[in-house]
Amino acid sequence: MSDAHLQLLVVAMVALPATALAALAVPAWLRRPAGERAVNAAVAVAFGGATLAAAVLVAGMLASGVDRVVAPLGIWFQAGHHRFAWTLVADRLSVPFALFAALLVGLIGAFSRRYMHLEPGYRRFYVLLALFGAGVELVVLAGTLDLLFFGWEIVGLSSALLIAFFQERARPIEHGLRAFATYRVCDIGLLTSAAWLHHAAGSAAVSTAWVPSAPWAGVAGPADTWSATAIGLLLLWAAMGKSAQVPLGGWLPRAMEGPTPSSAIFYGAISIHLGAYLLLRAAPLLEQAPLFAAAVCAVGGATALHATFVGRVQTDVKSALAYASMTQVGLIFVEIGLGYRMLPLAHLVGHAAVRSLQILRSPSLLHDHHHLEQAMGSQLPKTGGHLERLVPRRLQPWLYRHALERGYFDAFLVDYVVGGFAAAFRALDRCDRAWTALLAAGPRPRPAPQPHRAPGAR
Amino acid sequence: MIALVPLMSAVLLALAGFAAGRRRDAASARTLGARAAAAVTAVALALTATESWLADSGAATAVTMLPAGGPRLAPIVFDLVALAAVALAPLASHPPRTIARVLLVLACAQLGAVTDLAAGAILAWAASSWLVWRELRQRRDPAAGMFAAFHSAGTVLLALSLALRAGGHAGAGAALAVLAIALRAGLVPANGWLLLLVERAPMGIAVAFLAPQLGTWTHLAWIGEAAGHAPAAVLAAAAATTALLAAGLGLVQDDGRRALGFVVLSQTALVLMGATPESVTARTGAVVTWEGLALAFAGLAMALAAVEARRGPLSLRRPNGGAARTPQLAACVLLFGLATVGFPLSLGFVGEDLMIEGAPLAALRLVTIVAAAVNGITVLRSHLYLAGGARAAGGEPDLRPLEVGAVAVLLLALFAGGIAPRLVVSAAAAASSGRTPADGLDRRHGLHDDLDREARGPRHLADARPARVAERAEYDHGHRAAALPGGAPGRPRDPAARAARQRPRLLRRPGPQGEPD
Repeated sequence: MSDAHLQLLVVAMVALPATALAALAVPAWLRRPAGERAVNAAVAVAFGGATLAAAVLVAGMLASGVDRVVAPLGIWFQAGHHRFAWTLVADRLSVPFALFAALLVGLIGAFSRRYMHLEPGYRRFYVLLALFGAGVELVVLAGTLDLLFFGWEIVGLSSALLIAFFQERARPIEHGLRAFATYRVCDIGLLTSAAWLHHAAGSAAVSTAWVPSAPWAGVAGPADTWSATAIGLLLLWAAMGKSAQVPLGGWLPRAMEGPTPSSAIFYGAISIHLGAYLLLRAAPLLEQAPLFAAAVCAVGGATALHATFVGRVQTDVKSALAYASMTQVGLIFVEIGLGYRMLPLAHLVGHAAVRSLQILRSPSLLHDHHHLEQAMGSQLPKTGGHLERLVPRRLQPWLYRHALERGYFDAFLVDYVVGGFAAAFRALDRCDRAWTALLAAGPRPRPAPQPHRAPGAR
Repeated sequence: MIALVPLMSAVLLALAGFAAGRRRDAASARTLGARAAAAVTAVALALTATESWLADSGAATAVTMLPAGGPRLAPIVFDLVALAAVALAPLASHPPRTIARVLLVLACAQLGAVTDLAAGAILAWAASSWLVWRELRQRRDPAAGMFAAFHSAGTVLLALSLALRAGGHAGAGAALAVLAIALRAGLVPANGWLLLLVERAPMGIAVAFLAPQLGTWTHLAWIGEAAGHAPAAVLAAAAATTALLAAGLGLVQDDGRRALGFVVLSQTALVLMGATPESVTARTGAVVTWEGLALAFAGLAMALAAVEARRGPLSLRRPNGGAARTPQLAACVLLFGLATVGFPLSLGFVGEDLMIEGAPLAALRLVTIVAAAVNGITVLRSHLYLAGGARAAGGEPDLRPLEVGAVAVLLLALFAGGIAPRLVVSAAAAASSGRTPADGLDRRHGLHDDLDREARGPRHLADARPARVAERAEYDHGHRAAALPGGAPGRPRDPAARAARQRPRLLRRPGPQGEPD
């Protein structure tokens, strides 16, 4: 298979989901939405095609003995010395993830055909699913951090909008906004690191900077270790937000407000692992900056410890699975920080498969339990007893309370960080209104409006 | 030199405004105004496409299609803003007189781009401010006095600054220019008028006055490096402070209009901050962001006005409900909001990327990144709280055909420009490169070959082909050729530049080759 064919396959993995997105979104905007079958078919064809392209690419790369396929799509725009290039890279890191992501999105699309049948917002769900799929493929196959950021933002938006899918209720909206806010604050790290790399290292491309531990190229840092450390920590900040690591993981259990298929693919399979993917792609920086690697270990370890305890006191299955996901992703971070490369990749793919299945099955959990108990003729045995044996008895009440409060991280963030920010800026707002009133010599600041209620509505 | 497209647009928009003002009912005035704005936009685009023919034919030496400096696509942007501001104007709050003023304000904004005379900018500032003040005064809005005070001062300061500069007092002129731009852009602490305008005035009026961002446009087109490094640094610092403060303030608002005002204030300040004389890349990004912000803000503000007309005051305290009944309107708020803050796929993303990469200081890069991130949260919050929630069906309609058409045109401009931005970026780079001295930051990377070639840039929009990395020999040949008297062999001496050198200094604006002798 020639290089041109391989490049075409790489491009197809991104282009097909993007085409599906356009095919669904444009008719919906024109008030000519397609029927459920057509919508489902579009997604199935797109992601089936992307999966097939990925599989053929793998076969082609193995047959050709090629480790890396670079598909340059040209310069998007340039001014001065800066140019934004669209370059896709398929290598041992991106191809397995991209193949798995395309396959899973396709399967979720097929599953959702029945799950979301006749649900208001059926087409909106599939538009957002296609948007997510296109974004993930772009993140995974991006040849530069700039392009990765492009896809990263798209994934974050689709995630937030799917959490808020059931928009008639207030809670999904609040939780969707919380997730988006977490993403945006953490994405500051990704964009800052990309800009820093441009100025310090001349490029933020996935170069041919190979490191002994990783069988794929990564983002090379500047020669200066301290700059590399700082850039690495910024990337870690970005990864923490996307992968719900401590102390920023409070959005994850709340994100289960969305439809179960989207919860499965976002927070069980794909989206939550993108932080780990970013760190794997920054393997050269991890080698160059030991402090960065240590921080990755510390964050992952703390998250795994926190989530394993908190998950055990949850009373609903999806929250429990959310914390289980968080635990496993924390362990993946530890593996990455310790210098493993293939192990976290394998862990990531395996965990994604198992967790997405568990989340898809979660609405049926009670039925599953009843069937098992009927088959056994007795109650199911209690699990988790090993922790009770390991943790001293006098610490157990404290630990239980600590877990119920989710480590007090949420309370700290809401009351002190976000609350402090809000209090400070509200005070500034009052000053601004007073200053404006003074200058205007009279007009009272317009009071905040009351929400509009229709006549007769309660 | 006369630019035909803004001249034509100014005349036609003014005529449309007068005609709309004479209509008896708001619906017919709105239809007339929207159709006129659409026609003007189409004619402007058609004229722009003939620009290269005009230049090559040498038919006219004192006439060009688009303005020579600053955001060259400004006239088309203003026309599109007019389309949005009129087509989406709620009838209850926009009587014929108001729609007429919307068109007249945008016609005045076009005046600044008609010639390369300083008087154009001063006239644009003064006339647009006067029209908005008249609107506020006729509505007996107490904010009219404050508005008049700020903008009278701003216009006078601008006139004085240009006069001082012409008289050889560059330093004093630069300081006054910075002050004038700060007042016009609503930089902290002079932001009160902007918030009141967005909160109280009919949204079409607010859009017509704010979307053109005349303060920033004047800085890009007129002041530029002539402001000097110290005043430019002060302006950048004030803009950076405003961008961050406004972003934070927007996030804590419970009033949708006030949140919108802070978002546009923050994004406008980012553009002003990016318009630094030290970097071609950053200035190009500022021009592109200026264009994207004008269109996106116009769409977002008018979409919010449409929501307000259907459901009442825009409260962000709890979900207002209704997205199920007006999905197109909800999608408009989201798409325009994301375009306002430079979300990927929009034109603003391209501009902000260039501003970040070209910023001379790391702190300015960080300000751009942080402010845009926070504004993005505000935008999504506005969408979710205005679109989400359950409420009793009020029978409100979704977008009307006229509104759908205007929205489609704006979205096409924003997202097509974001997906294929080369033409826009090249035009912006050509306009920006004539304003700056050698960019030391770019030369540090050893890519001065590309920089010099970019700096020379295409003179006309239609010639804007993306630059490619050239071989050294090709660069040297072109560089030596350009240094010869008369430019490259076979290329006639530019008669426009020769004519510009012969005009009195007071009336001259720096041409694309730098300061006149």
